[in-house]
Amino acid sequence: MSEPMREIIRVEKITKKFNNIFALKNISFTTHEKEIIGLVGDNGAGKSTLLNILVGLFPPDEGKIYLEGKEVHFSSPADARNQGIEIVYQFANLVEKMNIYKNFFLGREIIKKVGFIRVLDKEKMRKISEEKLNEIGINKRSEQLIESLSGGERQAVVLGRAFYFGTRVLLLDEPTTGLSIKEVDRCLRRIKTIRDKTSMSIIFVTHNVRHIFPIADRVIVLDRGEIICDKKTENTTIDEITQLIAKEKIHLH
Amino acid sequence: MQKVTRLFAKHLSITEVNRCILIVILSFIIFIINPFFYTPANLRLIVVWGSIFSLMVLGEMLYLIPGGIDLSLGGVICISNVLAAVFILRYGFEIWLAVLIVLITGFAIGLTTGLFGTYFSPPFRFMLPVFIFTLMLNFVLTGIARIITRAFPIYGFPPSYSLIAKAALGPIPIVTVYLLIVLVMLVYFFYFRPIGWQFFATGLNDEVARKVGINVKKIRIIACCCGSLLQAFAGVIVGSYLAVGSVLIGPPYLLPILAGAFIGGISLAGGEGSPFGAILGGFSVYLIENIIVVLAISAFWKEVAIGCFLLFFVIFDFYRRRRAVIVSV
Repeated sequence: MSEPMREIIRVEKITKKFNNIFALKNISFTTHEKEIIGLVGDNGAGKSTLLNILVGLFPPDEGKIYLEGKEVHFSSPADARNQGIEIVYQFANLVEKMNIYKNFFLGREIIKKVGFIRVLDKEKMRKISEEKLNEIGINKRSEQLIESLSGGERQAVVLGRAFYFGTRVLLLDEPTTGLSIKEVDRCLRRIKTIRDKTSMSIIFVTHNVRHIFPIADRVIVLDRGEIICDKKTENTTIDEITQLIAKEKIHLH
Repeated sequence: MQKVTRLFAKHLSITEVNRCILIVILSFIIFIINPFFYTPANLRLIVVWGSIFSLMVLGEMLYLIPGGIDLSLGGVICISNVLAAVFILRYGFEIWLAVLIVLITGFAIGLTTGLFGTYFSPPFRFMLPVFIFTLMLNFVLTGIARIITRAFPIYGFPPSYSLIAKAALGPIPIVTVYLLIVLVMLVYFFYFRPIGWQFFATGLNDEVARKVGINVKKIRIIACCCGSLLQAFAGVIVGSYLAVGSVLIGPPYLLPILAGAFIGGISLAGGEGSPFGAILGGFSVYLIENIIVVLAISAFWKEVAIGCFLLFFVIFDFYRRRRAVIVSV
């Protein structure tokens, strides 16, 4: 793969305190176009806090976020989403009892004009959602309910959604937890497909170091609110990262 | 043949369809027992009161779908017909002005409910604060109506006031026209506008709705306002139809209307139901009342009949859903 060049998101010296305890201390990193970053760390290392700041759930105490060179402030998750930051939670954020295409466009519906009244353009939304899901490799009718899908397929719907809406930064919060071995493999391949087809940068947060190595370009290790390691995946090994996280020798193999 | 049965079973599982079939069967049985059921006068009565009940159930539905519940319905109907009477007869307001004030009052009641409910909504489920607040409103509003009227009924409306509920467009009673207008508006907003999707998503899973960027609070407040507005309108209609402003109108409707909502397939858990179902529910509840009257059974059996119906439909739905789960597993 060619060297990724254009920067997408730059985080500068972000600090966040809860009750005088540092959750994040001087966090700075930059992500580039078509780059997958694995963000790992033990429980309480500050991964969730960092994600929540990036999706606009709460503002940082100090520090700045730049999106494609421009400084941004997110007032709410909806605001961050409109500016191009999409998050996929561990339990995919979908309404179970609604159709695929409704979930796909929920909150960002396409509207057409019939005469002088404005109505939802259901045909177009069905078509687009089916096309996008096909592209990342699942064949489902858009009328199917989400509750009839498997965990991996649900995630694919969210990925497809991010894909369609021109997301700049895709945050994946533990996307592989709770998936079967086969589904993990498919999930990773889908993430790769999306990376290849768009120019977004993907931040992949997980506990499981083994899942990020096949796809990530860089690994960032957080520990007690600080970045203790930021290396290209070529220059490091699973064992090294695992030891950094656990602070003791652990043999995975 | 198997295909036909499967198609039939599929359509039977749609709430609105099976309710429709049941209403038709029920009215046919009644017809056999007592042909008076089908006199024009009685049919007209069914259409008018069925429409009024349906309006109330639609108001209740607006609370139920985004995850709340409206127990203030009786109080709102009570205060609105009393207020209309007081404004027109005691203070000599123009009829349109009095009705407008009553509708604004209904809207304001919904607004306070919505604000109170959403203010406490996370951490609590929306249902809890709304349940408490509307229960409180039901007592307070009925009490205020008693204080205003000293519990005496107010009579002597000008004939034009009765026209609000008793006029007719050709053969169609005006109340049914109101119902159709409300139905068309609701169907447009529910199924052809983004707010409809967001409305159902809020009821199904408000956590997810919030995460995908839907303004859950706004949607719920709008729903509460429209719900109480409809109840207030229904109150004016009942007052106008009976040509009386009385504290006795209103509170007795609460439980039948709630039952009607459940019979119409609107789920207490939120996010489920449709305006058509609500209307069927409204008509079923009135039909039961009407049947009791037509068959000259003691009115005390009315409650028993409504209760049995409710149980029947709820068990039917449970069974249907359980079977659906078993099939999918």
